[in-house]
Amino acid sequence: MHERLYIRRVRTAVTAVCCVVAVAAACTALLGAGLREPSRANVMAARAAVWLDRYRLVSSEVSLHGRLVRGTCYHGWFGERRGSVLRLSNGGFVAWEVRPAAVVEHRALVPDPLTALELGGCTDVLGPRIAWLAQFDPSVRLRAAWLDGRRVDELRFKRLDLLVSPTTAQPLGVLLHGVKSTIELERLTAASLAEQQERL
Amino acid sequence: MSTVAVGQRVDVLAGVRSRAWIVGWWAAGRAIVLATAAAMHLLGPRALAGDDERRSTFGVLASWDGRWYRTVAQNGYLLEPGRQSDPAFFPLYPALLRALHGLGLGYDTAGLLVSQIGFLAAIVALHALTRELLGARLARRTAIYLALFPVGFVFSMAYPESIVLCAIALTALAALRGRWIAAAVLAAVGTLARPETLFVALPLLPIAFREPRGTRRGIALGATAAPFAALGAFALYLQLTLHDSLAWTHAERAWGRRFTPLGVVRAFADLPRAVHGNAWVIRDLVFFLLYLGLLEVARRRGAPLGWTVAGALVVVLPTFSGSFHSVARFGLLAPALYWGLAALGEHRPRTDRAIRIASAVLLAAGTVSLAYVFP
Repeated sequence: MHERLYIRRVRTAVTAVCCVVAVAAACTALLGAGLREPSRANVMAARAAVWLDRYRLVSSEVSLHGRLVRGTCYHGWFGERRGSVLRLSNGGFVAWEVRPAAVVEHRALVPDPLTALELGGCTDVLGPRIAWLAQFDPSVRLRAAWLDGRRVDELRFKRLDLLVSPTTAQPLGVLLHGVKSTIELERLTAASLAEQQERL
Repeated sequence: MSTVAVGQRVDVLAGVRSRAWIVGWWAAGRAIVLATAAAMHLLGPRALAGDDERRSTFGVLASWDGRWYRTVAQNGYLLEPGRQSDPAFFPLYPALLRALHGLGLGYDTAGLLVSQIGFLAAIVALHALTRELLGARLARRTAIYLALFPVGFVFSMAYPESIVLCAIALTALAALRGRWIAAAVLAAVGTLARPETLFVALPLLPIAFREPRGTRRGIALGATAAPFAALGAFALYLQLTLHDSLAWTHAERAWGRRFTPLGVVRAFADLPRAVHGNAWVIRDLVFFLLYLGLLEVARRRGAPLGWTVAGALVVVLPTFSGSFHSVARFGLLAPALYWGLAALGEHRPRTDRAIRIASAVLLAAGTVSLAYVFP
């Protein structure tokens, strides 16, 4: 009697487990067949955005009208305001505030201050844009390119190209409106933070 | 033609004719939503609607999360750590959009089509379920109130809510009729569209235990656990594609939803700040309280305990993320709410009329609100 009850219990449990496993397998197969995997270009773009999220200081170089212009972009707090400041070696200057997102002051030697911030690799301007494009731009393409003699990957969005390391997706350069810049993400040290805030 | 075939055809025709009134109420409710959306396209307000949504007549109905579902359908999942990204959205609805897109439909058109048809099926299924559990009179009123439900504009959006409600009602119906394999499939389908389907396990459990021990009860218990299996499958899929089985949870955090045991306390404590940030949260608070009241009315009217507890979990659990935002929408997936509302209108013609008129007005107003706020 007890044995029969035991067998029925075991049969109940085994059937339930089989049912659960079958449902899980069918669902996994359904998702595998029903959804596409993200393209390598979108994945690289998302990884590049993560790099930009991690840094607050970027140095850049851009060739404007045959002259090499160096820039430094710092993102952080300025008193009670938060935003980014890009300083260029030719005297150019752009200040951008996060809330409301707007350029508050500029003396950049390019027509559009926002373009200058993106070419300068300003992380809090470029990062959200790349992250948005990674998520919503299905037309992003990835191709091999060269930057200062280095082999890099070029992420081609609709109006912006981002040059990244082929292995780590670290952003290395920006191509915007026909102007190419190289960018280098830098660790913010106590000394460099003090320097940035002193220069304001 | 054989006599059996003729008999079946007559049965089907009789079934369709007997449910024609449901189609009428569904059409009336959807006409309110679609006409309001079309009027907004022509006359405004457009406020926060994006460029994509402004281009088409019913574009506002494909806005907000509709854009994210479309992105998943187009590109697949992509997790962006620390940022709002699409693994926060469950996969079945985008998979459906993708399948229909493969047949030549645009993503938005496919989404709106699935939602309208899914909602008709949901009303028919909930009517049938209510008739089995609470009787024909309450079933009729439940179907009518569901068709006009104030937050029901969401059922016409490119959101999965309509197919999920349909799946929940059909799961329970299949279980009540002893069709456990169908119940398992439907419960899994619903869970792949929205996690709230997990709570259908509560009303299923007592039905499963009514089955005789052995294989039959095993299948019944397996069907009851099917939503959890589906959730596990989603986690496995995320692991295989994004190398992060918890990508859904990580993405939810970036959307401001981090579940903690004291989240509900935080939701109340932070309410003044939440109202200051976005006053529309008052709407969700009002619906939160209304839903709890309706669940109590449903319980008193005789709704099975499993359904009222499941409804309470659907309404209360999101507040454990520390916010009331979207509670009005989440509650749509609790059938017991509609039973509570139907019970209020039962035996009271004036209340019944007032509910219908107020619902229709609020349904139109809710559609207009899409220009300003996410549902």
